[in-house]
Amino acid sequence: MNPLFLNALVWHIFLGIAAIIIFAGLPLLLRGKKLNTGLLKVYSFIGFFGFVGSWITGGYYYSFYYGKAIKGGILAGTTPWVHEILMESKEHVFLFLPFLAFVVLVIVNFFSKELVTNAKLRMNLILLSVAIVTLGIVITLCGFAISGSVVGKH
Amino acid sequence: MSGKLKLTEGIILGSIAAVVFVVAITIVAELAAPLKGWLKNTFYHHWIGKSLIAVIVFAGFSVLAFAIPHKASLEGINRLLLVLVALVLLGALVIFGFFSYETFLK
Repeated sequence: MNPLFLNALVWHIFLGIAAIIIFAGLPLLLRGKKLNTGLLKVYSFIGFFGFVGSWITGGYYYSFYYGKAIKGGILAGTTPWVHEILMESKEHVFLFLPFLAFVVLVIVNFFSKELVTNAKLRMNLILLSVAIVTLGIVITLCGFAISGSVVGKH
Repeated sequence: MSGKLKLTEGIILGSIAAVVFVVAITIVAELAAPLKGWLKNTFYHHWIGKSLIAVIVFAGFSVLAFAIPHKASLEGINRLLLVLVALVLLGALVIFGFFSYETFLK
């Protein structure tokens, strides 16, 4: 694997996990009676741009390297279902995340005052963040399984 | 305030449309080889095509929902957020279920 693909893979993982951690922190910030709206805005920006960065770097690695160098080995190995189910699902479910993160970003930045007074809006934003984290963890676990199924040196 | 409410409703509706689109194109492209071939030939890789079209669907629906005159409210945003969360979880289950079916049961 050349350094460009290696960097793309590393940044895809790093930015994706950073975004998941950020969105796991968001519900904790939203639970308190005194909201730190400044910090909420910072979290929502980092989370959104983390997923966008992970999308671009992961997309580059997946589209230009994985299909040619990795996929065939997994399909010919003992666990082809890792690609057929986990990778196929992961690559498509991931596409939800940047849009969801953008919705959080918009709400936190447009309605920071309303978040203090409107408990329903706060609860729905917590729900959305939990959904992002849940999908993010599932996708990350799929990534672990895919990495573990790679055959040979790359 | 009214502009922010309308724009936010539009963005949530755009996200709902993008999620529905991703689920639909994922399944349809697997079942219809010519569509997957067109995505690959046009965008180099089918996944790049799906990604770019999802962004276009999101932007299109967001602008459309913003442009159509209607009364936006925080209550509406709360309802749309619940719909979005439900569809996202359902969509993920459908995608995992579809590929599991295609792999083990077909």
